[in-house]
Amino acid sequence: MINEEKIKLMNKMAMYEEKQGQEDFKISSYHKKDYTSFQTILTLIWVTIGYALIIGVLAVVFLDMILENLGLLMLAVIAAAILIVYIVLLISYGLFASRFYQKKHTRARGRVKKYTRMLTQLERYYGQERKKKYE
Amino acid sequence: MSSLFVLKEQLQAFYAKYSKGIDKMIQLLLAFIVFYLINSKMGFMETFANPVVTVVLAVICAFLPCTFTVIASAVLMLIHMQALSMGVLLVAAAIFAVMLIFYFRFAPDKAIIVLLMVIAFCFKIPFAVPIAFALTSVPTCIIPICFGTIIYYIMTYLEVSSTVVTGADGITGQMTLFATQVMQNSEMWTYVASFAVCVLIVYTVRRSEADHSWKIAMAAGAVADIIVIVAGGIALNIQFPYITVIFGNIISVILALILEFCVFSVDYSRAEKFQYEDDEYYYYVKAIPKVSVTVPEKKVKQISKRRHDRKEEGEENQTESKAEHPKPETREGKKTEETSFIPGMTEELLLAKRLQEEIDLEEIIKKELQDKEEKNRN
Repeated sequence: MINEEKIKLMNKMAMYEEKQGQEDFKISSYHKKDYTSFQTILTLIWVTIGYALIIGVLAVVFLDMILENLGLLMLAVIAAAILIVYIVLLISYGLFASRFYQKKHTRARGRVKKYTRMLTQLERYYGQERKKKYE
Repeated sequence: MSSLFVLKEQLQAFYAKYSKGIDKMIQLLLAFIVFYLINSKMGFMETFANPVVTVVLAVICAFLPCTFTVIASAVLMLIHMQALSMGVLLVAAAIFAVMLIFYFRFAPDKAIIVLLMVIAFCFKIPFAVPIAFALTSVPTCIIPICFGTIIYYIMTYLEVSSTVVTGADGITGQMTLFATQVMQNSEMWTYVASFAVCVLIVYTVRRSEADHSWKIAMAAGAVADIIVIVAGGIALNIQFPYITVIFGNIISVILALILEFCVFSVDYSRAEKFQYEDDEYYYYVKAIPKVSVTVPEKKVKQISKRRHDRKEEGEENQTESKAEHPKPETREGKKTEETSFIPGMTEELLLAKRLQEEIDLEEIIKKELQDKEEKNRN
């Protein structure tokens, strides 16, 4: 005989596995601190690349203007501005990424915990069924 | 109005029933429109500008997650740019990479807004997207809206001035010209500013506790859009198509009203206010009931004959037509059978049948009584 509750539970589990499960299992396999710091470092590397691209595009846009006013002072000012913006960007993105990935890890852990509970429940259903069979 | 709510409920039920198919159809349509627009505006590589390729790509994207449509659109654009000029390709690739690194890494599900923005621009209703997302989402949607605007202006620029770009000296020249033209486009930045202002205003107003806050937010957003564009036009000396801007905003507000009807239908006339307190706070609560309508159930009444009845009747008709002198009794029986299936008269005929049965019973009883009397006499 079909156990309706068991089917519902299996359905929920299958839906979770298909939607977020894969990513959540991967995330929750790390410790929170390890995952957050790894992702933050990765984000900072990407931000550096992105910033370099922005500077490249802006350099291309303002190439004529830069070449016209090229001088040591001008170069120093531009370099200082680029550096300051880069540091600000790194700090802000670093903080943002750290909080973002911490939250992400907590949520994923929560969902995996729920999934594990469902797994235990399912195991209990199977145990009951096995008992009935032997009786 | 209630019939509209019934229609909404019916549509929701219909969507719930066929959601998978409808989702795929919408995705297919979205992908097709985007690829078609890209190919029509910048179809520099003829192989990919082919309508068959567009359809095939759209069909593939329909079966994959929405993010894939965005990636496919970006790749398609880069392919066309590569056919036009390497300089353009490098600049556009850098812009796309920046978008990906700084925003879409954290919110890949919001990437679809970029495509919607491009489509809305092509239909002359770009204001619909910021208003709609400010009503239903969070202010961070400003970022993909801005990216969508930039991508649309890249497409438009390449559509109009592709020959100018290719005419520039070398890759560096092409890069400089393209980047300058795109990034120093005052019209584009005015639109970006107006959308940002619109999103912030709509979001702030719709979260206020005022009655009809959604409608006020839409109107305020549209007015803010127009004001920023007019102000930008005057300050930067740009000739905006003001009539298109005004009509675009009106249509956007109408679309937003439809969205409100679908997502946020509440009855302000039955709003209630409560005030209570606990140890730490005073609470001022305003409860607005949702509008809910029960869909009337359809009752299907079967009044047509069963198939085997029809067959029997057909056979009887055939035998009847063959017989030269039909018996009067069968004729009567035939008549009742024929009339018993006249649509709309079922109940009356059933009543007549019952009366007939009662009369028959009476006759039988009468006969029995007569028989008894005769026996008694004998």
